[in-house]
Amino acid sequence: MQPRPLLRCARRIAAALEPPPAPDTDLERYLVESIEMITRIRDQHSRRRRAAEHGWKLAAGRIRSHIERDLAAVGDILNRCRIALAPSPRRPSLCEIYAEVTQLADEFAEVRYDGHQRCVIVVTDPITLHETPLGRFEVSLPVAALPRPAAAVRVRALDPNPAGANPEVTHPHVSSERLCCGDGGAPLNSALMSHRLCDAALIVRSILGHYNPDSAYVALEDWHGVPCSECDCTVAEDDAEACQNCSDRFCEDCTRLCSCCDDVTCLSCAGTCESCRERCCEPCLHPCETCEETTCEGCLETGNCPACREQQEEDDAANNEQALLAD
Amino acid sequence: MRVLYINNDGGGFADFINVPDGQAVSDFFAERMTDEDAGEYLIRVNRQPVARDQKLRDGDRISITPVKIEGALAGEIPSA
Repeated sequence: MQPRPLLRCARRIAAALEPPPAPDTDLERYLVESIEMITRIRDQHSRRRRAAEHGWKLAAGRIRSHIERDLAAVGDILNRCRIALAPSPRRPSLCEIYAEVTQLADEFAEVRYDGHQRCVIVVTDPITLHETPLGRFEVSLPVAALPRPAAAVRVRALDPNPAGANPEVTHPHVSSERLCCGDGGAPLNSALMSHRLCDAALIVRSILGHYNPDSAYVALEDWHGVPCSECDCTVAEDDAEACQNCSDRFCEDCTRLCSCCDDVTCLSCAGTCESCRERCCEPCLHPCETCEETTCEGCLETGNCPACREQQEEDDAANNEQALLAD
Repeated sequence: MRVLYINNDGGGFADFINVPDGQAVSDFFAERMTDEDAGEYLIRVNRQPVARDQKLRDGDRISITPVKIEGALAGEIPSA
């Protein structure tokens, strides 16, 4: 990018930077919120004690879960208090922003500012992880003052090669354009809060350029698989089995072979023959004409299940005996 | 002399620090990033790539960014 467009980009970013909110105001609001929350917890605790005294175990348990939820919320509010208490980063000068933009242009193939989204956008080189090509990514970095700006970073695949199991996962650590920063969360927040845009972009690039198999949305070894419609696990394309009834695809554990026709059937479509207790596909199961119990084609004869046939035979024999006696 | 040191590893650090006059970039790295391999980091002085033996000067801005950072699932994002 030429110096003049870079300067224009820097000017637009400088114009978009708002003075940070007065931290004392935020702190006061968070303190009031935490006091209200603690008062509520105290009331809930009294109600829980009363419920326990009356032996109302269900109500006591429900109140306890509310207390746990509110205690977690208090922790979050106190954390916000700590952030509000920290000194606000000063607004960078136009010269500093220009230096950031110039470095971005040196480090990345493409740099631009999106005034509508108030984001600086950079484009990475094509990324390949463990021989899986994932293509280029467009990284949007917020310039607005946010308490946790790393959560507002967006990562869009420009040459998407998403996971077969989930089209929203375009990178092992990106889902629905949201980057899961992991170890990069703290330095990324720090860089964005200090308006160090290039550092932030480099941190995101380092996250995208590395694969953490222990904490991926979809593991790279399962990248080209398909999701099992029953248990959601990822199964290799060649190993996925289609149910002959509903046509959805499943892993081996979630399918059965019909004991009558040997077709593959999923757990939802499979039924059990009430006579032989074998699992069968839906088309091979019919109601017995007499008792209407579900019966497989193997057990069904002349429209009746074995038990009804036996009963009929016994009835017929008894009728014959009576006829003979009558004669 | 004083330099602006930005460490984008761990919790993120950015502040002015005192360093010996004319300290080489490689010595600065070895001192600050004990037992780490410089090849695993992007080192920029005044926003530019530099040679290992380049001497730091008063007022320089030196940033160190890991080349590999482990991402994680949403629930595992550490707060700032």
